Amino acid sequence: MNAGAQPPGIVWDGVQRGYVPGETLNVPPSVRLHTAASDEVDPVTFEVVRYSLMNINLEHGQTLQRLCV
Amino acid sequence: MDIGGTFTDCVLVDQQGDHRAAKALSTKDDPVSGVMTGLERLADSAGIDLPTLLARTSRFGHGTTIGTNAVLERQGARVGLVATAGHGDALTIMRGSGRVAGRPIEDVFSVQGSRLPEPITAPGAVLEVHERIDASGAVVVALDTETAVQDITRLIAEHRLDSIAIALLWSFADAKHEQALVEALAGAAPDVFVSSSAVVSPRLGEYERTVATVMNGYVGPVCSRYLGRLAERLGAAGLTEPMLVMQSNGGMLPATAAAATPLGTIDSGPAGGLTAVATLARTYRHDRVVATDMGGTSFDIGLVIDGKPVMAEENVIDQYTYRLPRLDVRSTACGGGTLARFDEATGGLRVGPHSAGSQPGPACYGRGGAEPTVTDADVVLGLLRPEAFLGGRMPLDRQAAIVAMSGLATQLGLSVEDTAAGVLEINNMRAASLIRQQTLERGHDPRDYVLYAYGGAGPVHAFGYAAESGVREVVIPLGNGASTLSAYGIASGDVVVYRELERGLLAPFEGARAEALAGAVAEVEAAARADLRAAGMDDRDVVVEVEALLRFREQLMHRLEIPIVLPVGPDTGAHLLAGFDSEYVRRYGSGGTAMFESVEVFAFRARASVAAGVPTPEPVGEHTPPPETTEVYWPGRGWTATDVHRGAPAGSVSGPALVELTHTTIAVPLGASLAPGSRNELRLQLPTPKESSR
Repeated sequence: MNAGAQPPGIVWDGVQRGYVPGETLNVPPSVRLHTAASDEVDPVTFEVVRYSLMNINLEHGQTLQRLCV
Repeated sequence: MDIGGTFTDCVLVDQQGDHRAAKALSTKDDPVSGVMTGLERLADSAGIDLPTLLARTSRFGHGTTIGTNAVLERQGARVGLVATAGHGDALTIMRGSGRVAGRPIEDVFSVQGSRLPEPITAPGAVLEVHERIDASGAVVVALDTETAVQDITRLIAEHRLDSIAIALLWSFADAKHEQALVEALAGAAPDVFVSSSAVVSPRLGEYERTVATVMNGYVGPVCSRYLGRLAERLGAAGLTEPMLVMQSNGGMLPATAAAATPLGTIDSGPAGGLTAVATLARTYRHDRVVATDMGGTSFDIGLVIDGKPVMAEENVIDQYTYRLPRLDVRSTACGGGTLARFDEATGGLRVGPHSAGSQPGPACYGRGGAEPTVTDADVVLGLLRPEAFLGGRMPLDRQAAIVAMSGLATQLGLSVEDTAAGVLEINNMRAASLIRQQTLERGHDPRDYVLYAYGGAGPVHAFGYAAESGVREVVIPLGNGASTLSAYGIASGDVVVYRELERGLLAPFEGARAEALAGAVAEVEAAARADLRAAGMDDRDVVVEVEALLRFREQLMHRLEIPIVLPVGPDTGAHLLAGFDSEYVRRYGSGGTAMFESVEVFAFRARASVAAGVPTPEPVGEHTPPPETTEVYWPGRGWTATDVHRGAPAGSVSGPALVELTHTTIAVPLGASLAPGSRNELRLQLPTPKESSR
């Protein structure tokens, strides 16, 4: 069942139940986020790198799966 | 005949190997009428009437999406499931990957956006029967057939079912309980479509086997009705030969056999193209081919290695996974209609996975689409000339494409041309990622491959995604026939059945184990032959190939398929192990085998086929007018004067050039050359990265 369709009151907190990020992320103010970024990267290069990183992640997963089972 | 989402393609192949094609709009509500219109056009183009064409036809092949559509649109039968007591919830519990199985990578990372698939059985229509067979095939609890059949007929009446799927535990080890129920139901409920898991997918894996059986039952009645109706119409129109139906394994089956196990027709659409590529690769003398089909919405790729199309053993439809040998054709959303958009969170340019489809389609189609697509990028760059699209029958609106792309360009802070070039670059990179993954996964280097580009949008983008994957030679098979290649594959495909047998056998294969090995090979070979005999084939024409599925004993999911040379002899076991070792080393390096001890065979697969005997294509001489010149914005080069050839060129063409065929355009970049081959194909030679940077 989709976590978003759950009745209110159920907390997917990763302790009692599995962690499922909500529609909006509630980040506690005490957490310091990294905000520095480069504006120099053009949008096409950015997407090429982003998509490649995502695929690297996917291929790592497949390699691990093959090695484990 | 190949029924697609938009067009029904018809291809006629004559005894000399000449082929001609006709297209008609698909008629979704009554697909038979679209087929008949297409056939009439085909007969017209051959200068004869339809009854004469059909009467002279010695082989009629058909590819249908009726089963796939029934699942995706939830228009299938009301199916009930019969399971072993305690196992009625196998479908609901599913595997842990059920939320994301078969979904694009973007969805896999979106936990919030994923969902479980809608159920395929009628709500509540599950019956648990008391019986049990163990892993060795021994009966632990006998089946009371009479009581079970009474319960099943009650279930049918209560839930108004028109289909029953029987998936009992370990039925592939011994199918006697399932067989007893099937036989009893033939008498007790003759109008109900009954599927047995031991017949549909006799493989280990309770969930996958249950999915296969229920899915077979879900599409069964719809497919039977449709194939029956079509055969009747064609018979009335003059066809005397039995109709053959395309399977997802790349083979054809007579319609009656295909209707009994309709699961094989699901996702058979892309199989036609890869089958054609495998046939043509033999003619063009290519051993290793990446077959790429870029259409309106999706990009399908398959591989041909050593002249044979690569197979997969699992398929996923609407997040349901089942096991059935099929051609390994993988899809990603990067076709012509793929949408480009600005990503506000990152300021980046995103291409896909959403598509504008055929309605409204790309902005340049002028059907109300306003968002920029890959095809719009082609039009902005000049790779597609608006007035020449589809041979001039469907002029494109260049201004609409520019307007759609301008919105995106403003958001990105780029020029319209650079935005369009960026859309193409990202789309090509997505296509190349899929090519790289599928080749490297098997231990192959894409640079050793020849790439075949077909489908409406394949030839115009091939130069980009081939270069991105490191491939240097691109072939446009059959020239203009590249856009109806699936139908050609259906016309030229062999009649094929696959049979699988689960049988565990630990190496070394000596003594009693060698006998067991020989026995299992003989059993699966005989079963495959029997299937083709039952389908009406002459035993003398049948060729059987057998392969063993092997793995290290300690591994669960990872396996390799190693062919067995027939007939089985004293060296078969040793050859099998040597074959496994060398393939494992080739894929993972010699270090990979050191940590494991013993090898086991866990299943056998037989492929029985009867060759189609369709002749190879003959060259056609085409008169082509002298080239014109247009301006094209080549990615990385800017606006460049470019020759435009209308029709397949008679000699070699140097880039930059565009070659416009009736149904597709081939883009030849600077430094590349395109030359006609001897069998209607066009060969595009791309420059090396060093040459192209000059």
